[in-house]
Amino acid sequence: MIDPLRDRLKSAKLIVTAGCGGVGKTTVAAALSLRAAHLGRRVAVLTIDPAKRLAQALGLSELNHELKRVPTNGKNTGELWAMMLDTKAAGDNMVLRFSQDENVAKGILNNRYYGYFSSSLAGTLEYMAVEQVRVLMDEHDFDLVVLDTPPAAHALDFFDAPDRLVDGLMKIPLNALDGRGRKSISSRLASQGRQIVLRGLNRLTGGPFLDDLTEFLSQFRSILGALQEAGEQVRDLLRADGTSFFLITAPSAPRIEDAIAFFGELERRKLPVGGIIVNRVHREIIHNKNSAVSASRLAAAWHEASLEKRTMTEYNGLVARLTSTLMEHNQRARQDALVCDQLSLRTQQAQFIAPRLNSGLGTQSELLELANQIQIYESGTSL
Amino acid sequence: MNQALRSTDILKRFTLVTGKGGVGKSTLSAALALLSAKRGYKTLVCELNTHERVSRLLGHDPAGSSIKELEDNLWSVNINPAAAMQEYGLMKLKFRAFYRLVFENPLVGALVRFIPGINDLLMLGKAFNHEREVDQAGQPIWDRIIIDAPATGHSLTFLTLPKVIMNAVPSGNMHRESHDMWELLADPKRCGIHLVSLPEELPIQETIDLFKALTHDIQLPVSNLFLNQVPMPAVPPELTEDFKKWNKIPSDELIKPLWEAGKLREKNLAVSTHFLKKLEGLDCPVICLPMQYGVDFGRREIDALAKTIDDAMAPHD
Repeated sequence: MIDPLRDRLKSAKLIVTAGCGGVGKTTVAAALSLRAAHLGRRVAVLTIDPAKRLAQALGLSELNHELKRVPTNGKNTGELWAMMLDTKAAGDNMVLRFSQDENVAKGILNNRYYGYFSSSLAGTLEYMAVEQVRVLMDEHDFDLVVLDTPPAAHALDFFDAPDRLVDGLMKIPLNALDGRGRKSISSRLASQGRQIVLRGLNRLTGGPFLDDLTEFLSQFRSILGALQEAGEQVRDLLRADGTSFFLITAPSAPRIEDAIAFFGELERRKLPVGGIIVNRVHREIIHNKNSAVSASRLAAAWHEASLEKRTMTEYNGLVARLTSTLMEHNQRARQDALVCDQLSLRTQQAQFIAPRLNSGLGTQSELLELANQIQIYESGTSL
Repeated sequence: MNQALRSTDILKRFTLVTGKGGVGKSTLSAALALLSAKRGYKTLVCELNTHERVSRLLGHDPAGSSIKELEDNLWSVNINPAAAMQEYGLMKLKFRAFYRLVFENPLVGALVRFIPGINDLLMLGKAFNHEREVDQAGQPIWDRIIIDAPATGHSLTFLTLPKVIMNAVPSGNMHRESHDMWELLADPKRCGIHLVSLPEELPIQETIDLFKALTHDIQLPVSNLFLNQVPMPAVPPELTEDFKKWNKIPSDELIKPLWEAGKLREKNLAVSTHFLKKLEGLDCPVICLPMQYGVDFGRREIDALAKTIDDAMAPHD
């Protein structure tokens, strides 16, 4: 059987999982990395979101900013390592590395807006954290790094982060402030004879706030050049030959719409998509649609299982409930198949389906089972 | 605490619905909005810069960024940051010309965009303004405001924002505004924060974490927990125990698929019950919303959920 996913897991250098929140993205990332390790590779799985459950499923007591070896078993198994990327440290390192001197760096790090500031730069620090991926690949000699990105709404911020940061800061005409002593925004507006603007601004926010912010931004701007360069390196890494993006989605109509929109955004950014994985797909339970089951037939099977004898009314009730349960299940499965067809049609991408497993995915073997069951989907087949 | 008593108060004046992505926040927002309107409250349901699921779920066209009447007593709006910014600016600066002078100054425009979390703050601020909007007679325009809030990780940042700004900006208008917002959020009489979850490992864990972060760390009261998509039992209650013991795959080819479907469902139900117990361990009433098995998810399903919540609200006697 053709197994393009297996091939990719054996050859890729960087796999990025992307998708909306709540579709099991982190779980799929863990499952894929586990399978790659079982294919003999030396793998690191990195997540940006704190994911306690992921740590537990992998068999680690906790997942933090240190790279940890995940105990795996099986013959010919490679290695699996896991870590949570440290966005705060990534930001601090970036400031320390790119500042001209220590004083500037300290000025930025100690500015009370630095902490608040990071939240308005949704994605930037995460993006910088990806720089750590490059370091890992270069220094630790991993065969494959699996990177789990933040959920979609933020993921787009994430991919655009360096551009947005640089553009945004460049648009602020602070040039006049550089080098000539740091004039506050208030005195600058005042000297331009724009007192009225200043008055309006004060009415909106309270003046000292914007003055402080100006000072911080003018300091921060001094590291922009270096930041841009680092951003470009990450950008190249995400588009390199050995890199594949996998878009993870769930088989419901609104999720699929989100996934298609997201796929468009990935393509527009020329990010290499390796496929779309539809997670938690219901598989049809094959049954004979033409024969209804009678209560007496159920009764026979009930006796065969050596269960306590029940009345005919009870058997009737059970047949009715089980029949509607089966119908509901298969209806869901058919719906999932329709949604998968839609997705194939509209993205023309290799599509994989991951079945909805009944295990809690709370152990490594359950995760591996999930990974092994991810298979290529062919349009029009029943699930 | 008497859970039934607390559950009767699901529809507070300012109601926020939040949870992990994909758990059914919009679905619950739609059901609550519908229920609120049916109970005779003039209701505004707010979505925050999204694809507008709520109006669609209720079978209406998207409302867009201006308030639109969906049906009797029910109005909807999709708040976007740019419009909210203009509204806030105009409110504070009174005159359009003044507003433009300030906001069209390139230095100001760029700086304002760099205020941390400004978009979220503006959107929350607009919803907040609807809460205190009054007509000419001084009566509140809206009886109930329901907000489909951002997903978990983000919602914590979102709900903490007024406090952050309050501390970051020591005085002035922005300080006052965020202070008032915080007071509203922290007042359990006026504000209800609902957390939605699914009976699955990660969503439950996140709900528990969010609940603890909200109630302990940032000290905002959580009104109700909703467990969405709770499976229906496949077996009548009097046969449940026996069916559990039926572990051997039936040899009859016609019975086997029925047995398989039943086993699958009962397993799902057991998993769901397990997670329900975890939620019940928190000091907060939990309301279960049954899985809707229909082909499409739309108005009919929202009606059914609204009825479930209505029943949960009815006093027990």
